[in-house]
Amino acid sequence: MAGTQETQDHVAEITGEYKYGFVTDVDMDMAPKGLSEDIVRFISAKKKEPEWMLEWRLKAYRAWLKMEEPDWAKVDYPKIDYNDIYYYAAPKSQDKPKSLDEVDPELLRTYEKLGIPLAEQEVLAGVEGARKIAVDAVFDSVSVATTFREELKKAGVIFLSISEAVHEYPELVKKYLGTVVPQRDNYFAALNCAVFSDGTFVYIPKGVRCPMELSTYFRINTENTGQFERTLIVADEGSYVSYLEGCTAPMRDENQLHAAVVELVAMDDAEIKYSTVQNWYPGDKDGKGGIYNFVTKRALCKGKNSKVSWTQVETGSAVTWKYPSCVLAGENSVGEFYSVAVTNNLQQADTGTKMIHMAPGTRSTIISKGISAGRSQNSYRGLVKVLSGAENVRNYTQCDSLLVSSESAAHTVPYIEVKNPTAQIEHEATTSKISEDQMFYCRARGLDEEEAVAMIVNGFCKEVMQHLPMEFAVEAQKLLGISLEGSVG
Amino acid sequence: MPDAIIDAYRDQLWGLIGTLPGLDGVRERALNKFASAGFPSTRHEDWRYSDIKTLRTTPFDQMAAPMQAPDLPAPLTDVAARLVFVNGRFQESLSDMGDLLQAASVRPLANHLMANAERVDELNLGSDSINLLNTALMRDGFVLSIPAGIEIDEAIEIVHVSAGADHAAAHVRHLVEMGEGASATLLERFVGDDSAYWVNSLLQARVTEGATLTHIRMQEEGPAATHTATAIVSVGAGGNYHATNISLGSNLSRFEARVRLLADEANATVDGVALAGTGESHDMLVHVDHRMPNTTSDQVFRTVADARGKTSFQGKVTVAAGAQQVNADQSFKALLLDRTAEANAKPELEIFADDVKCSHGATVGELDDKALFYLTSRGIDPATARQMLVEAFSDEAFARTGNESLADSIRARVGQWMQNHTLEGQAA
Amino acid sequence: MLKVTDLHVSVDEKEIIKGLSLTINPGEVHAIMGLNGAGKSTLANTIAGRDDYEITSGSIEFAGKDVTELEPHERVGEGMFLGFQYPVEIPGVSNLNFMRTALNGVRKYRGEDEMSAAEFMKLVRVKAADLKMSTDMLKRFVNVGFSGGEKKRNEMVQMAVLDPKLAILDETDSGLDIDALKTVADGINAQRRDDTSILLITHYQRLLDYVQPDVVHVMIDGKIVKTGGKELAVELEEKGYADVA
Repeated sequence: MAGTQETQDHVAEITGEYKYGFVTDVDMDMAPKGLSEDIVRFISAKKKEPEWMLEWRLKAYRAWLKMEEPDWAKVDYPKIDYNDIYYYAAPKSQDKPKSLDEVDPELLRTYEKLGIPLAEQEVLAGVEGARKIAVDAVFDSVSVATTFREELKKAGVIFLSISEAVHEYPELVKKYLGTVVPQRDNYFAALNCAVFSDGTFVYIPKGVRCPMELSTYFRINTENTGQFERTLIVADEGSYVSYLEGCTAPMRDENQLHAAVVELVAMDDAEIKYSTVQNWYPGDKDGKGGIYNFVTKRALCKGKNSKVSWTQVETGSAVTWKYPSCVLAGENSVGEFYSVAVTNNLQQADTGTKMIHMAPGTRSTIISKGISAGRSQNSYRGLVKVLSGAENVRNYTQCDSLLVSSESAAHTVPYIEVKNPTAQIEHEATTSKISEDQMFYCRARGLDEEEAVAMIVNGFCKEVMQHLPMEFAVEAQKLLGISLEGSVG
Repeated sequence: MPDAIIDAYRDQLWGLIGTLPGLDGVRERALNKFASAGFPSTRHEDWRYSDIKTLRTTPFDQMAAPMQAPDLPAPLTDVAARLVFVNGRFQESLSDMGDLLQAASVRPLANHLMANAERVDELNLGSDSINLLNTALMRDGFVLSIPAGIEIDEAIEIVHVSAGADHAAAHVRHLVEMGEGASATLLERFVGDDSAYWVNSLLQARVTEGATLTHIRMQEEGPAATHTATAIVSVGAGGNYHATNISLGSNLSRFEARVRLLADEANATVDGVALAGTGESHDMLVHVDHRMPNTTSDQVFRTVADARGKTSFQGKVTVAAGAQQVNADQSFKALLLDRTAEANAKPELEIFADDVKCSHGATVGELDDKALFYLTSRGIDPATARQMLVEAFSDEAFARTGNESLADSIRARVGQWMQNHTLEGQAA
Repeated sequence: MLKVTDLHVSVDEKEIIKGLSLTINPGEVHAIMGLNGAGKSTLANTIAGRDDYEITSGSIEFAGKDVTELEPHERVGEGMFLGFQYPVEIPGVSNLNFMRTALNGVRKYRGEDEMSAAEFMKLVRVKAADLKMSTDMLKRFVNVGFSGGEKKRNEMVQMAVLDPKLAILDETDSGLDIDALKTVADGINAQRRDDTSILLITHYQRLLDYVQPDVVHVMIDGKIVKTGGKELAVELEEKGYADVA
């Protein structure tokens, strides 16, 4: 009860609908609007990339030109004009700052407002025993600061922006980039391959347990900008890393495109825990503005006994199209997907996962909770596939939808495809509205309607929330409450 | 799709001009639509699990009358009447109308259209290529109309026999109208020889206020046959549609039920069992569309696949905006008896109202080891134990056949299949 | 009746039974007691012939015949019976059908004729009434929706119908209230004859108050560490396993 009360307090303390909707006023260095081979070359040149990287981008760009935007998801948005977008926008300053002192103070203030501590001292000065989190902050197209780099280096962990990695660790990047999500994987992934501007690269060497949580904070600031970040995490044999990802954007009337690609590779006995709290600007009450969040996230459990766990709390974006998946190629590898997706007003979310069981003894768990409020559309879409050579596969899937308003919609589209008789696949799904008994019980104990809804929704999501790291869980609970504001009555 | 195939079907259409009164214009419209859509491939969502390559690559002629009268299958239960179609054509001499005509109206499609030219509009063009081709090339069918308040206890049996029909097709169209408060059981059976024929059936049913239609489909086509069937059903206030589809025969079968619940307390149950023997593929699709508040539906599907067999299920429940107080359940379970067997499922919910209770469950696996050991530890030999478990597994899907003797004969057929296949499984 | 010699059993390549010997003569009731994880259930399942329990060495003789290679149902045919600690639920299979198929399977194995439906019903009614089981429960699916006590009573009815020479009862007393325990004990005692043997596997001495054992064994870590009369059970209850063994 205490936790719930805390949430109530947090919810109550926050006024305004989207508190991250401010704009930061910094000088930007921008590429001309639109997309062409020249723009791809421009981006590559800006980043002083080696020839192989440029070739890789161009190959993706040429493939993208021949591809079609997917239309199978239950989302509906006006046609995107890919030539009306800036593909590169960076705060003006020639090189990445060497230390935090060199970072534009205006930027630091932005992250401060967002509640992201970039100055390491601040973290260290915090409550004693508080966990350290290393942050890579991505502002529009580029990474502006990466913290705790030295400390991580001592542990052998590589944590830096992907554009730096291309220069500093070209062999590692070459070896893994595009191996999980190939250039032609899908329309948005191909686009990302061509124009990705920055993102995070993480490498955890053999046997290393990453000493702190790693985190990337994404911020879209500039108008008409697309953000195309790329994250690549490689966990070598027997290593462990927990990675957090957060996202916000200013309130703007026009829609902004976000097409990211995240690739994870886990070798023998390695474990990657990837948590996302996605809070891009969802647009206003009437569906004006907001982020188009078209993201390809995929993990390759390459080694035996490897494990990847995706946890996501999706509350933002006008349109979400996102299916964090696991390719279970290593024997006895494990894939997990825990998801909460909340949609309100006119938001549309089509999200879920794919678990591809290629190797014997692989196991997967899918827990998905969808909450639809306002006039929103919320879909779970998933695939559990067992290949013929994969013996003794186990999958358990549970997807529940909760309807908070009579005008919202909830859809469940699971695919189950099994080609091996030793598989045990279990799938359960329910759709229902908030129980009147529960509501009445809460009301009878003195909660108002909105509080009662927030409490029941938090209870409904508990199984997922408990998989988030502590700091994130509190934040996520707050977000749930905020996202549902105004949804009752 | 190759033009040659479209041309072949266009030629067939010319041959059919004038055979069914008032239908020529409708046929042409349907064929034009078909020509632009083509046969679906597995990239088409609803055909994801049924690869009708044979149909895409070879034109199928209209079935001709067989050289000799084919054997008719033994009855499964006492019936009110038996209507026999051979190679897609109604055979009065082989049919036995019993006393049915005193209670209800049954007549061939041609007579119906002759008498009611305006009712040609009621013929559904259908929404996919297979339906469109049925509309373009339909040759025969019956129109069954049960007047208000009439209850017919025994099943009305419709037997479809195909024989000597290599690369030939029967496009049959049946219409069923249940008057207010009427009730009847329709037992459709499909049998055939080992020629590589194609049966493409479309049944339209209107279940009006308070009426109940029980629709049992027993598909035991020949081993080289392709069977595609669609039931398009609407249910009015307090009406019930109970369908049970059993897919036992054919090389490839696909049954699709599209049911719309159009008024208060309309109810639909759609159940099915598919048993895929060696190399067979059986696909079952259901779409129950809750258009109005206070409607209910339930689906129970059980499938078993043996070597290189494939069973698939796509069950969709939609609840329209404002359709509150809806209950809908789905249950799908698949058993794989062999290493090379395959099961696919897509139990889909699409909900636009909030005061609903919808759920689905799906499981895929092999026989439960623990149950098997429990049975054998009581002295039951493994083959019998396997058979018992598989029968018990599929039995849940027969619960709503409504007629015990019929259910028993169906069980016996299923049991026979199990015996053949579980024994093989044991030997392997 | 039963002779187990230097038995070693592995499950998933982990050795659970580590050299166990046991002889039960006709007319005797033996009890094996031990803590969780001692390997008691593994022993019961192995004697009954469960697949995934691998005998790495040693032998099991039943009525003078080596049964290690026999299938589970063949062992039942020979006259063995295993009462499960957790009876399995089998939806869709009625209890009656199940028992009749089982009984006729055993009769067939022995070269006897099948029992007619009428005869069978008569037999089951008597046995069920002895164990206070309603005819309604006989018609229901095997163990589905049964309470813990009902499941155990169902095991006893099955035992009575199959009338085995050797009954191995794995934790038959667990989860029973006192009335149910008495009913189950009556069932076991009814099966106790000069020509039958019973092996009780249990955690507690409780059941042994109602079914007096002739011999009590203490099992620890896959071996029998101590054998004695029924007083051993009492001693165990008072002093605990650590002191006695």
